[in-house]
Order: sequence, then structure tokens, then C-alpha cells
Amino acid sequence: MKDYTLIEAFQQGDEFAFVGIYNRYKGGVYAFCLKMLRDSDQAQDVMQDTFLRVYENRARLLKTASFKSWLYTIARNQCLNTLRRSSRHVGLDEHTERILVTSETPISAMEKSEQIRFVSQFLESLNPEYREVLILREYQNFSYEEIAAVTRSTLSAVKSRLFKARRKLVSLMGQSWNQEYAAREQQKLTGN
Amino acid sequence: MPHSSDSSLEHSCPAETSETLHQYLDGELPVSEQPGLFEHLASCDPCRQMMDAVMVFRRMSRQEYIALPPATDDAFFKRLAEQKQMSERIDRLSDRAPLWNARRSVSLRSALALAVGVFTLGLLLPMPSRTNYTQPLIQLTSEKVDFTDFDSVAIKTPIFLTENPIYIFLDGPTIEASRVSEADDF
Repeated sequence: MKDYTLIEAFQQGDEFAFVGIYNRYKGGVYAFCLKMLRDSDQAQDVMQDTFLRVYENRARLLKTASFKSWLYTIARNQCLNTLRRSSRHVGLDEHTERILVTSETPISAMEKSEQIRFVSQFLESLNPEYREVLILREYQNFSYEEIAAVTRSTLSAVKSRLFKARRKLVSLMGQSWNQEYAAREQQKLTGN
Repeated sequence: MPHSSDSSLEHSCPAETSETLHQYLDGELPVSEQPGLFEHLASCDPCRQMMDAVMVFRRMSRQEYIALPPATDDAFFKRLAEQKQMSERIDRLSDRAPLWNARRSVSLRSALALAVGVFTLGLLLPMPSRTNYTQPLIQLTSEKVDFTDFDSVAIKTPIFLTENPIYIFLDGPTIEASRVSEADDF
């Protein structure tokens, strides 16, 4: 069933249609909130708040494809408010950078749990405005236009943030790869 | 060959090429432009490094399975029920709200404009003239009763009337009659 049908039924008082909307989007919204906040309890709260707002504002729901953007905009604003309230660290501090760069295990040989930790730490090292763009692109598979709609910014701003975030990723991975390469060379020398 | 640092990447390729690479990685590059990018990638280490980094990051980010905790749904629908109750209560309260809560503040300018409008309207309306009254508001009827012939009625006692009239006020008619004389006059 299409979003349009569900939204229309919900606006006409069909509560099951709302449950349908909730079931369709709850996973994605929760994943987005979790990656933004890195805290499961806060992510659950924000996800619930988001859908409560949808329920409250059912008269104003958009019956078009932009419903998804609207939904994620609410979640995104709630996440930013939560981050602001909790005064969580934003940006890359020296400690995080050291963890990322001096990881003992090379990226190519990382265990699954190490890879997950690496990704989480990298995301936390980004400013929220870069983090949200990267999450929406890599986890939610949003297009540039959709990301611009969610973040209320221009297309060029979205691209700029996304590319900068990736350059930072390359910078960190590049250092790790260099270490990996140096270790391999060392291994070759000792082997000889 | 070791991967180059970030600074070398930034300066090695023009911004257009870099953007083309990102568009390709995001599935937004037209097919017609892809061969040109592949040619560039074959000879550009920093761009290949960027591509590798994004692909590795993408693979690593897929490792984590994010599932909503099962209790979340129950907690959400509980909150939803509470919110519904709350909104119903608010609706009932607003229904019972006294009329003066519906007052709206009016700006001084609007009030002045309204006053001037009412005044002008009052001036323009025709004044009712008093000469138009053709009929009195209260119609008075009077009937004169001659008491000199009272012997023919049931009253046997003669009544001597004085010159001063007597007024009897009843609900309906007003009766005007001459006062009877004092008792000792009989």
C-alpha cells in the first residue's frame, strides 16, 4: 500500500493506517536517531516523539512523496535539540582522533565489532551537520534532493558537507592504511 | 604503494572531477559520463583512494544490524494512548470554557475606526420626526355616567354628590365621578 493511501485513510480516522505508517518508518527513523545520538534510549524517545507529532499533526500531513522528508525533518530537529540539551561533544577531539588513527588492528583485518566501533566513532567525530548528511546518504540511501529537503539546506550545501565528511574519512583511513602498509613492508623485510 | 594523505588528495584533482566521483558513488552520475571517470580513476591514486575509503566505510556500516528494541512499540502505543486521553480532556475543557474566554483583543486603531464608522452611520441615517405620530401611544376612552338617576338602580340610599370629583383607578378604565357627601350630611 502506498504512503498516499495510508495517509489519506489515517486522516479520515483510520487508526490502523497510522499503525501502518508507524511500522513502515519506525526502523529507519530509529536507525537515523541512533546514529545521530549514539544512545539507544535517547534514540527511542526521539523516535516516539517523532511519531507522536505525526499523529498530532495528521490534518497537515502531506500526501506526497515529501512525507518521508517531512518525517525525517522532525526526527532530525528532535535529534539536534537533544544534542543541544545534553551538550554532547561535537567535532573531532584529540582523543577520538587518536583512537581512530592508532587502532592496533588494520582496517582490512578488523573484526566485525571493531568495524562497527570504528564507524560509530567516526560518526561521532563529525559535527552534526556533517553527520546527518552522511547518515542520510549511507544508511537511509536518500538522494541529494531528499537530504536537502530534510536538512532544509541547498543542494550545493548538501554536496559540500557530504564531500567534506568523506574527505575526513579518507584522511583517517589513509593514515590507517599507511600504517598497514608499513607493517606489511616490515613483515616482508623480517621475512627476508 | 602507500595511500596518499588528505592534503595530496585535495590538490591533485579539480573539484569537478571530485564531484563526478562522489556522484558516481551515490548513483547520481549519468551513464554517459561514467567512461570518462573510469579513465581518470585508472591514472589517479587519490581518487581511487577516495573511492576505496567510501566503499570500505559503506561495507563496514552495513555490518551493524540495527533493530528496534521490542519494548519500544509497547512504550510508544502507551504514550499515544495517554496523549489521546490528554487531548480529549483538553477538548472537553475547551468546550466548557466560558464565553469571556473567547474575547479577542482589538487594536486601538480598529476600535477608533469602528467608533468613527458608527458615528458616521448615525449621522447619515434619517432622524424620525415627531410630527409623524398620528395616534397616541395610549388610547384613552372616557365615559360619563350620570348619577342623578341612581334611584332607578339597585342602590336605595340616596347619595349626595359634592362638587369635587372622585377618581377611581382600576386596572382597565379610569372612572371619574363626583365625591359623595360626608356621612353626617345624610
